[in-house]
Amino acid sequence: MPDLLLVETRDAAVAGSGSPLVGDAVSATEFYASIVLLLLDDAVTMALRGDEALTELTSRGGRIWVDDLSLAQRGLHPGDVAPQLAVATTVVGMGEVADVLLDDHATVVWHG
Amino acid sequence: MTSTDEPPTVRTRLAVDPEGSQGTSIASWDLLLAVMGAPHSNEMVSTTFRLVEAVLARGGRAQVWACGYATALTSTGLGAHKPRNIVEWNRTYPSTSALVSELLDRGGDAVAWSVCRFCSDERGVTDHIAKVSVRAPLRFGGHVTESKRTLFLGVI
Repeated sequence: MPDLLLVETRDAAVAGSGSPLVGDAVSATEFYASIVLLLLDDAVTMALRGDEALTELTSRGGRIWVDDLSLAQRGLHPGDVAPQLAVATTVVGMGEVADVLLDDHATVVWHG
Repeated sequence: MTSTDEPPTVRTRLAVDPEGSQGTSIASWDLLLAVMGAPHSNEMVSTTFRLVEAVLARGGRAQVWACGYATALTSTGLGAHKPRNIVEWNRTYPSTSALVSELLDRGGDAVAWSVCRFCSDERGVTDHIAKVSVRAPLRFGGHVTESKRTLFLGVI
């Protein structure tokens, strides 16, 4: 169970700018023992490209969750995740997200 | 309107009334989703339903507060079904009003759906399905107080 769950719903590249939330996730690795960045809706495509900021996040111990339905709706598969992120990435359903939301000790930040 | 600013429920009164709770906040809801964005520009609505369903499946309690154009999700004018799909002529698709109604029926007292009266009136969405509470904007703070966690989905 993560201490901090950050939820990104937008693909930063499509939005025309970097994702401030991903930057925050990288910075937060200094303060939280367990960080998960959930890529949901349009944001799932960020995991396919393996953006530099995501790679940095995983190199600092952060983990990435990718929403299963968001992948499926776009005709994507778990195997499409960028190789450099694969080890730190887990495809999850909304049940895992609910578990965190119901955990009183977890901090959750939602963007989008 | 099907429901107006009724007096606070016992649960709400306990959460916001210092005399009733001796100044201690009582969170009777596990999650409050403040759904703020235009409902059909992205997957915010389906994500809302998925989150609520997942919390309910784990025995939690979740409530939704709809603001802005998200207030239209529960309009009676939507009817039970979406307009017929010309490429799937024989299939019917439930409206969001029907989905919310079914969610409220199934969830019992573990789920609630409220809409902002100001946003509803400003957009002409003046008639909502049964079991949806139409609340004054100032009531939002009470909903936050009675919830362990509040998430904002989308922006107005």
